[in-house]
Amino acid sequence: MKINVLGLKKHFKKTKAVDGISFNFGSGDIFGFVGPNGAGKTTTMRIMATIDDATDGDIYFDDISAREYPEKIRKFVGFVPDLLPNHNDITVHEYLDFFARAYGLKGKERRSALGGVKEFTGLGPLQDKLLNDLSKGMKQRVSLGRALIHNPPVLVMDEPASGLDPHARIELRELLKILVEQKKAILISSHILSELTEICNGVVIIEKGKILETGTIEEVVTRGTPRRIIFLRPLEGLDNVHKELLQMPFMHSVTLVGKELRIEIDGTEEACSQILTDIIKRGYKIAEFRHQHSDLEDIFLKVTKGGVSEPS
Amino acid sequence: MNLLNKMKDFFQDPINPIVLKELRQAVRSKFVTGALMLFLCVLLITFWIYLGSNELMNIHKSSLNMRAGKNLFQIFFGMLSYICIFFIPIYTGVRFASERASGTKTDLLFTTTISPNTIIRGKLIAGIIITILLFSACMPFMVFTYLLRGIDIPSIFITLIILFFLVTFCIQVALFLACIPGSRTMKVLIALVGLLGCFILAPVTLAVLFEHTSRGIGSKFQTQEFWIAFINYFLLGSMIIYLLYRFSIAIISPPAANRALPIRLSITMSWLLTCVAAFYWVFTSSDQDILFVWGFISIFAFSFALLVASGENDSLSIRVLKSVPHSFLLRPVSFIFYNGPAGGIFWAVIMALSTILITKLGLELYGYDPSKITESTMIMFLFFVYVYNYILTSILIQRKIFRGKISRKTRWIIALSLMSLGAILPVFAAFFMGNITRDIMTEWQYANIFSVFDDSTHHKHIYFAGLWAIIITFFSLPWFYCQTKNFRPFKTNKINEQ
Repeated sequence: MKINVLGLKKHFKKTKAVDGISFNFGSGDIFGFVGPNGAGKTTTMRIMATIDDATDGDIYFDDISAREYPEKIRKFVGFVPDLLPNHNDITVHEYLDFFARAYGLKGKERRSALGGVKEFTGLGPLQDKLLNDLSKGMKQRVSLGRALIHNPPVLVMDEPASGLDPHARIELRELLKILVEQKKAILISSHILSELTEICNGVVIIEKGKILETGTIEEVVTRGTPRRIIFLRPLEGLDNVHKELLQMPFMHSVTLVGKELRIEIDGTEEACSQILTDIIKRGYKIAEFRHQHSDLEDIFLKVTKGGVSEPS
Repeated sequence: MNLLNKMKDFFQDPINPIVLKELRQAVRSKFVTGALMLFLCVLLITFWIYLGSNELMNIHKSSLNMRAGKNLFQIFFGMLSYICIFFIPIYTGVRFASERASGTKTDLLFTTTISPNTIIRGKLIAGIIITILLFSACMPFMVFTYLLRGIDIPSIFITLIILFFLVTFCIQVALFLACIPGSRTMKVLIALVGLLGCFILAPVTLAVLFEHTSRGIGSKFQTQEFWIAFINYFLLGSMIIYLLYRFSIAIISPPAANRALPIRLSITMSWLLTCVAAFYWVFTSSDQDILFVWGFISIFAFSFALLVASGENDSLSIRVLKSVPHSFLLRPVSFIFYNGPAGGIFWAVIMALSTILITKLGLELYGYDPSKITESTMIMFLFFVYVYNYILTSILIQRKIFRGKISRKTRWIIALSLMSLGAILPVFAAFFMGNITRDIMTEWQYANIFSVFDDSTHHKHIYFAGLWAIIITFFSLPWFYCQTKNFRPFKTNKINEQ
């Protein structure tokens, strides 16, 4: 399934929470939805889950419009909100059973879906516990189970890792990896960017309701850091190496950082390899030569200013 | 195990999931079970206190008090009425309103494929079942009062049936109020209106039903009047419950859906049924006033429909356009029943004019005083024309002056503001000119919608309102034309163009 967000807008009176954003992702993709607080992530996700209606623009699931046919879209989307299920007087089984029924699952099909979800999320032993007696991690599993009960091809998760301990986060990450293997399209918002880099193959960076960057992680990182940064530590002759490097091609800048040289080059990995070869050929002994990889966190900090949507 | 599962599925699958969930929660809820236990305890204590007091004997203590059963029944009935009229609608309404509130803990109902119809029906049925639970707790005590004399079994059951129906009505009203979108302040105001309704309804119900139980309902079973009143109460109540149910579904339906269609269809059906009922009433009782009542209520309803229609979206969603019939004969009919302010206004005008015509013809058929017929139908006509004028004026103002500045949804507010200005401004003008006389107050009331009830000025109002209607319709013609022109079946290739 291909999910196409086209010129999506959501205005709350004069505040443009989402201001004409467009991006797409599909089955087998896990896209990170990143932005500062108040950037419009939750609003976009709520529109995707058909809870809210857009002011303009639309989201197409294959060719079906979310604004025109929200009822049809609900079959395709499993939504995990940022708030954990907090219902009184209902057990885990009853909660999941209710949603299975609400999605129109009947008899054997419902029992099978319930069994599958409980097994996947490990909620089987807790099925008779009251929802409010569960820990945050367990509630998050219930929330995930609820979103998966009708086996949707698309999963929209709003801050699923917030408030979870490291152990629960790792468990969640493993579950997400399995879901991607099952060819589900996942859009996940999170503040923990290092985690997103690990599990996502794509990213959408949003601020003040507008998209700043979108694409695969590699594309975004490449666009965010056009120059390659290399750290080089010679065993001896630091100043000479410095001078030699400045005369080499592709070189943008060379700076001394402690006992290392920070080299910025305008070139490909081929150019990096050439620099190392040339230095060694000139008789210098190299103790360390490493490539500094930019991650999502660097890109995020570079492209965003931390602003929220303001009234226009 | 398989057989057990199959049996469970057989019984549970057809049940509305909302009912199942609500009841599961209610059964586990300490609040509901606590309230039920408390209610039972209060009933039991009241029962013991009453039995232990001297109320069972007459004032001379020489024989049994023949009114003891009735008195005790009225105490029980009062308790049950207050609990059911207040507790159940509030419990149902507040729960639903909080579930609908955006950004709070929601049941995520609106992310599932469950239909708005099933949601409202489920909430209503769950409320009704909790009512049955409370009634069941109270029923043995109430039936026991029969043994204490002073009340007959039919009185007990008929009053309970009437109360049960009234509580069902209150639950539906609470659900309708919970559906109305708005800010937190707006919701609190709506809740207060609902609460005020309960405060009025509970004592009135008690007073009416106590009056009937005092006289004994069983003795009235043979009379036609009792059954006419009883059946009318249920028919009229059922109709209002059904309309509120339809309105609630429409409110929670997606904005792109054809929300107007079921509402306009159900109102048209109700209008037809009540028309037939009114004629039947006149035919059987020779009391023509019911036709006036029907006519005036219909005119007020269609005037209100004008207000609601004015706020609808001028452009229809693709989903609605896709359902526009290709047939040239069916298209005009669907235009007035489908979403859209112009269609809504056409529909209300057709219905209002039909109401006036039917009232006039009906009254003439039954030989009513012709002067009274003309006077009353003129009031209906003028009232509706004024509302029509104000609505079209407000639409014109919003489109031409405030386009992009204020929402189309506020057209009804502009119309009501204009109506208020039309009524108040002449009075202020006369006051500041120091010239308030009865003649001036009458002469200057051309724009006052309420002055149509003064039959002495009808001839002037006809000219004023008629001229206004012609002018405002003329200026609105491009808007009407645009909407009728755009009401065409949607072509699929438009999606790709988007």
